[in-house]
Amino acid sequence: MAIETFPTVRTVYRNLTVAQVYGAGAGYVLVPGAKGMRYTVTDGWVRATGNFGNAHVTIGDGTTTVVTLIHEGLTNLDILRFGVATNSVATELLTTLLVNTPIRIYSDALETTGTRLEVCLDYVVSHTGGTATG
Amino acid sequence: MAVIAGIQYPKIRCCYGRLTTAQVNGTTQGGTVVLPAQAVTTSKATITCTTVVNADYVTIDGIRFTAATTAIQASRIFTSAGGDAAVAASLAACINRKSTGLPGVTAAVTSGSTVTLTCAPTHPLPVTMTASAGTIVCVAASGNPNITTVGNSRQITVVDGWVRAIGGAVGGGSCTGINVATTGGVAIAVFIKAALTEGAVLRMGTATNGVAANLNLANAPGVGLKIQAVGADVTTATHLDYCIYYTVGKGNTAT
Repeated sequence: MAIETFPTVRTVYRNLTVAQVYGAGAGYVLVPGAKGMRYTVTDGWVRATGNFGNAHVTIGDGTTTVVTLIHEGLTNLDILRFGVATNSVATELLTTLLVNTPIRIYSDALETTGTRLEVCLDYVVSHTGGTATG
Repeated sequence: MAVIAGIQYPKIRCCYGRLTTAQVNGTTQGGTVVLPAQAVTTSKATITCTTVVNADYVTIDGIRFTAATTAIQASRIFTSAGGDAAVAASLAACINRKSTGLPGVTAAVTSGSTVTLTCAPTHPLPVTMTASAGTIVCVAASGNPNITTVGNSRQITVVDGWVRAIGGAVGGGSCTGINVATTGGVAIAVFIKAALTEGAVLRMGTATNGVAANLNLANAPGVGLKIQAVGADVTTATHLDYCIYYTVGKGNTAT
């Protein structure tokens, strides 16, 4: 593959309320699904406002968990990067996600002490056939 | 290249994947190329000298080189004596002279009476050429007297990245870690073994264990990237995930 045909990195940033992320049926779409497209998360971080005390939060497509962010790592204003030992389990970083499927951040539990969560996500897009897009 | 408010911003591209330990080791830690080098093709032109006489000239990028009986390089004068090959050699010497020649353009006599000009990969184009008479003929690859064909001289600049060990921590008695390096062997980021524990993402530039002295350094054209074990073969870990962010710069930009 030529150096200019490797995929372009895309970035999404959101500053979300706890209500947008936490609770049964809650969850926020960071990157909408697109027909015939698949996403691969390459890196990212989150930053809490307030100390999160109750529950883990997950980023993924609903089938594959790209990263699980442990609440002990979600301390006020600290950036927690994906894959950092102990508090940010990112086993499926670089795994190509399901076709047509959005990337979401969600937690089924309730959070009562933290107030907001900033998310910055790097990802690349590929067609169903696996061809990287520029 | 995106342009926002008149400022050019390069796209960030991502080269990522999973190597086996054997690939990281390569042959005696030669590693594996993950981002291939692209051959450099340069922008060229030829100047053919046939029976040149005094006062004939060639003007390249606004700098005139004139023929006279006796060469005076400092004055951009090349000889018209000694036959076509001697004339071509004298002209090439004038063009290559550091103080009065053509910066960014190299001249070489490639056959008897023909001088070949080669642009440096980053030399702006076009290079304009005019000659006084039919005794001096300028021809560029584009078929006209100006060098306009853009060579392939892409330059890779690594801006960020990370690695992580899979299937176990990086081991190996004398192995000190993993390098992301140019295909020429220049280390861009060094990941120290102590931090390459199983599954832990180790980013370039992380204090102590992710030394990235050459991050944001534009590599020479035609240079790719490889990942290699350092000191000795990696053991214990079975694979290595890598993710390298980079930009591509272009030389020979047309002006």
